[in-house]
Amino acid sequence: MLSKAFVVAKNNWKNIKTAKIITYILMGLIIAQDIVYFILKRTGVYTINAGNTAVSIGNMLFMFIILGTFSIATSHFKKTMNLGAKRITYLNGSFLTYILMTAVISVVAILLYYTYDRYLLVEFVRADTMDIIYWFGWLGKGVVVTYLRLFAFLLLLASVLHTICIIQDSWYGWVTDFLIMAIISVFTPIAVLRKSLVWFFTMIIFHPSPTVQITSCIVLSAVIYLLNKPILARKTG
Amino acid sequence: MIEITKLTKKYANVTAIDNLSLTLQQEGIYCLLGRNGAGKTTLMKLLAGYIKATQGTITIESKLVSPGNMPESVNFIESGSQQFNMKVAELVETAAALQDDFDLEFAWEMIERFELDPKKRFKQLSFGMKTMLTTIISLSNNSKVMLLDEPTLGFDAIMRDSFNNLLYRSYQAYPRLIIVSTHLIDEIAKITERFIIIDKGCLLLETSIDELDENAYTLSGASSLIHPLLEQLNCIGTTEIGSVMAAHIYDRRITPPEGVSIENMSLQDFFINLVGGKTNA
Amino acid sequence: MNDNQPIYQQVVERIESDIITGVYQTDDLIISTTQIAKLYSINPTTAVRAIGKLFDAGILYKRRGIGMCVAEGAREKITARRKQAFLNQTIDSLLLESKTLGITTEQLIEVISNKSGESNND
Repeated sequence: MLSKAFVVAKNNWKNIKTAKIITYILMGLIIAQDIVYFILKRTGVYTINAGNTAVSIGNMLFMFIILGTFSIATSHFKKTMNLGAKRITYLNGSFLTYILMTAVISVVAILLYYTYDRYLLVEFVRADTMDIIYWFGWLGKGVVVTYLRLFAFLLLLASVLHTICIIQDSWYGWVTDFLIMAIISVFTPIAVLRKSLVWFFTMIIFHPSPTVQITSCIVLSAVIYLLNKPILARKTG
Repeated sequence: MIEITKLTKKYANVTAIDNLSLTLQQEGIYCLLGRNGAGKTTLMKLLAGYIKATQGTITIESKLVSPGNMPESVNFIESGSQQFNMKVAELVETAAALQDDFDLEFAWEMIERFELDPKKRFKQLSFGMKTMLTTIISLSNNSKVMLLDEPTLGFDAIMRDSFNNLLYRSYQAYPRLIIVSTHLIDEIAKITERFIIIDKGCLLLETSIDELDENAYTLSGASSLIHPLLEQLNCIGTTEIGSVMAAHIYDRRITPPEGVSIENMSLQDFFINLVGGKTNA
Repeated sequence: MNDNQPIYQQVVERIESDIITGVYQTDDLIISTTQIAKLYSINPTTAVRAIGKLFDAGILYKRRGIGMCVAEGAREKITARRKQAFLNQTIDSLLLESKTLGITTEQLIEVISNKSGESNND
């Protein structure tokens, strides 16, 4: 069972070329820009100013999740079925892909944050780096906690994106889209409802207790995984 | 194995399948014949649980089929099925790794026999070769029911012939229930055992190659000699020119009287008369 | 394949002819149904049916694990049946055609004995 899920995961990873290309290009652009600034800084042509902030190169890896999920949920389902896989194998394999992918991406993103991004700050090439682990307040409790918070959040992100993509060919996909839009447009102006929205995002992102945030992300991901079972049972294309 | 009871499928005002009942008990290669729009694809989609019946039921191996209750024993191959853009060899090996009873040896034998280049990527294959590969992958497992919708669409004559061979070889290796829809009738007649003919969503006939071989024939000669014969025979169509006529019969064979000649009817002619006759009526 | 008999019947007759003419002797293995299907480009089911008919008629017998073989006395059986068929049907249609053309039975007999005399002299 698990070995088949691994086959699906391997296959998913092999076949998200577009996601890989776009991610690498974006990372390459940031590196190219950094190199230019680095050279300019060394030659003294340019001095750093407060507005000179950039997105962390590690955060660019999240593009893998956004674009990869899209491919896996839209085109990989039918193709995996055409190779004779069972629906449950596809589901397990896809979630295994997300678990492995987010686990690795989180490590690399944190490593890059502490090395590449830090180095540029120290060298005064950048004034600041935009990185979600900083913005979401996930630093300060040890690198392991940061890692787990990031991993849990990315896993939830992947699960949600995967599920939204996979239901787009059915009526409940459209209903979900409508609900999401309704929640955003209706909840935001109304104070009481806005509070619940804030509460939700606190739980999955900002909660001061890492345990609460990590647990809510993992539990929600698991619930979404289970929701996928009946969805896949009736999926045809 | 498959039991269809009073099946109806309506799309808005169009009735694609109209109160169709059919039981397929034995394994075999079944040929689903019908004109364009007769309801062949709709019937296959219903069998695979892709769409919901308006009325009636389908059971496969005693299990009720519906969307949300798709039968795992059914393998439905639509024409133009996509695969991952990997090498043929990789695709086959991945399929083997994903399935419990995949016959890798059989798959390789078929790939060799039908001259698929294992080093080519899926997108580099011609349309026909793509279908061939998808079909080989599907035929190499032991799913009980295979539904092939217009598999030879866009094939040249030689590829159609190899495809039919492929189907027959796989059936010999793994007897099961295979339903192939096509409108290239006489070619498929070389391998199918049974025929399901539908028109306008209704079942016209479910018959075997043996029955057609024996019972489908054409009588020709003077109209005055043939007309009396038709009183006792099931005639599915006639062509009358002056005082001479040809009558297409689907009934027991008779020994024709002097002056009347008997000739086998090709499946193509049989189909045209059966379906065309119905439209003219 | 000709056009006026069911295909399985035609296959039956070809194999029977092969037995009469000695292509297959008693206990000889005959070609498989797959080979028949390929040779005449017909549906294998039809080939199976033809062999089945020959088996039922006692012309062929099954040798386990090997295939179908020509039974003892098969040739005599076929000849006897064909003789019967010839005397009944072929002669009937000969007489009918002669009648249509206004040939008398005496004329027919004369032609037949002349012809058979010629072929005996060869």
